[in-house]
Amino acid sequence: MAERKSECGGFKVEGGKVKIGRQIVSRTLDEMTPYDVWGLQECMRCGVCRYACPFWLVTKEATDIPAWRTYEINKLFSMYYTGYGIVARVLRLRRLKKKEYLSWRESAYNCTACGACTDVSPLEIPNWYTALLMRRILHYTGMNIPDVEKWAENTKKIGNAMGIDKTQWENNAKSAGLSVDQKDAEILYVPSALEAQDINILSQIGIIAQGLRSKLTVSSEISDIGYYAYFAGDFEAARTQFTKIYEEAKKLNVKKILTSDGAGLFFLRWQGPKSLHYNPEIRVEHLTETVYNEMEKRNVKLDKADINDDITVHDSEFLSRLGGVEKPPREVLKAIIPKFKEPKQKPSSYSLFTCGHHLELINEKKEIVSKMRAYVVGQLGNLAKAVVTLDPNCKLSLENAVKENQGISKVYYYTEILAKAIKS
Amino acid sequence: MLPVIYAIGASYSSDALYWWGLNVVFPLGLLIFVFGAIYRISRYFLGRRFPSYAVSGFGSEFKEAITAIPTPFRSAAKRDPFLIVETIFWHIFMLGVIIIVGIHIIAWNYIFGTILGIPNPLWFLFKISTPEQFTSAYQMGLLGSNSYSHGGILNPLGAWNSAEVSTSTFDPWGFLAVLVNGTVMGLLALAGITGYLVTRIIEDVTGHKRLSSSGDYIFLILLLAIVVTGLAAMYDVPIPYLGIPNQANWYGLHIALVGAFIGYVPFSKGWHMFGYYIGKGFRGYAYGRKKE
Repeated sequence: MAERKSECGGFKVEGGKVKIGRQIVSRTLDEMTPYDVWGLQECMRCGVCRYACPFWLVTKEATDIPAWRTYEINKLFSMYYTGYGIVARVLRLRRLKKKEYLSWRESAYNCTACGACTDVSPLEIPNWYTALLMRRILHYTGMNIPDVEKWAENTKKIGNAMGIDKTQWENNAKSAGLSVDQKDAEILYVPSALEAQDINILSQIGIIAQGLRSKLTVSSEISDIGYYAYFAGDFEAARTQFTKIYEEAKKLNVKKILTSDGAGLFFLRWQGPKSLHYNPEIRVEHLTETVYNEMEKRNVKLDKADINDDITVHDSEFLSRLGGVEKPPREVLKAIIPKFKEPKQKPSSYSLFTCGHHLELINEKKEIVSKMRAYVVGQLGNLAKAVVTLDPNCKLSLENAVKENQGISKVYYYTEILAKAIKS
Repeated sequence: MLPVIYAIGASYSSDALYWWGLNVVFPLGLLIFVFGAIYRISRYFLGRRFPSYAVSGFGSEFKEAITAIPTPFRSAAKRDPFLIVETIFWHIFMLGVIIIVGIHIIAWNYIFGTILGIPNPLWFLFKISTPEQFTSAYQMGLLGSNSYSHGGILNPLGAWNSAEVSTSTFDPWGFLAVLVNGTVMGLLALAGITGYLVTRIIEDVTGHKRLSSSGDYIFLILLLAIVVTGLAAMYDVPIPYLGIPNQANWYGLHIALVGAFIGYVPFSKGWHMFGYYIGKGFRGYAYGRKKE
């Protein structure tokens, strides 16, 4: 590691020690609520969190215990924000070792931020969030993984982490039959970067909107939710994208923002506003919520889709565990899948393992992601060989499981089944 | 803190460890605890950048605090049964020792009664109190409840040993007190805390869970020392060659360590005894989980 200084100040290596200055720490922790501070400080490091983490179950490394990340971030926090920490820092009793810092990069990305470790923790410590804070420091200090830096760069430059530009996005949307920039539509549909490049999914969204009798539009300016930048630790780029979405919704004068991506719901409804310190004052819904609400009001008719497979569900961690939406996805799937094999656990249960999620897109994580994926596939494969997913990252992950013959044979995205089942 | 000292009926012989423990360390511990607690709570607010607003109410937070208790136990039961056994032993039996062992009830009753200015505030605990030792004549049913003696032969805290307690401790436990008593619960708690300490040392040395700070060890060693000195005080364990192995010194050391522990709580993981209930509902405030 060469001696270097970050633009925002205070990163240098002195012998075997790493110095991360106040400015970086201050910027990194700029969206901390009292609950986050509580979470950092209260971890008892009992280690129970590790049993819910498939990465730790694979590596058995101390640095892959979710609590380790919280420990590291708390160390930085306390060095600048607690009495004894400041004294310890000044007396040089508390410093970050170079070896320790080098393991951050591995550890921070041996985590999908699924939240199972938080759910299982006796004190519900937000270890998933400290992994993202670690990534933020890696981003600031130039130590981040190049693949994820590319997401952040793309988000900043063209508003799409996967590099889809405005023209390409408009073409995709139009090919799928979606209205673009239609003022006073009822719904602004915001795809995630993976969905924006998949014309099949976009077409299915169009069919579902027709079934719901909703006037839906997309914005030519918005082809990504922005969470990949957040996952890359570039919270600023993500915030710019979140703001753009809320402003675009105002500009188009829509009643609500709709996302079909589980992670998208979490970021647009919860983490985005939190990160921006801003209340967007517009309803954000996941597609399954919208369909479920209409189903309850008997405004929409759902038939069983013409599919013969036994199908189970891989619940979206971000939609249910972190996003709080549990009943709608399961109820909708029960209504439309003829042979639905529902897991016993509720969608937010810590005992449901995460898939590889966004880490599937990182080349240097392929090996470990393949191994950790075996845990979720093992659970799903016991119920059915076909799986429906509620988040495009989960779809990608389980498709990779199919390719690698890990125990399931087919993956459906829920929009495909819903588009077959919905009657206009 | 003077009322506390008076209430406990302390000796004022300042040459004794007992005197120092009771009159200096313990009150100082309480004082540090109060300031430490203010400091600890204020850190949540001083360290934060912006407030966050509730999406769930106190009711759901409280419900979550209760219903989520078994979650970590369920998760770790198969993979780390030893941790679960340690945790159950430590928490249940340590709480038993603190809450229902007669001599502790008397102590807390006088302390809280004097501080709060309420006579006999823990009257309800007397009804479920149990003795310290399973060998007492009381438990053998030979001498009746009035023979119940606290702390074995010599009880330096004589002022606590009120007739009121002696007569009201007999009812709930009966012969069950052979199992439910200070000694048995203390030994089981000791097993739990020793297990914690040994597990932590092994995991730190082998690198399986290298997460400990020096504070974690101070905390565990302090707890271990409190249990050991409590048991030693009760049985007046002699220490050869030191020349002063008397029960008053054990009590003095025990009380001093408890004082130090109370003072250390806000700066240590011991804070989770308060923080747990706050924390269990936090996710409902920060995210949408409980909104449905």
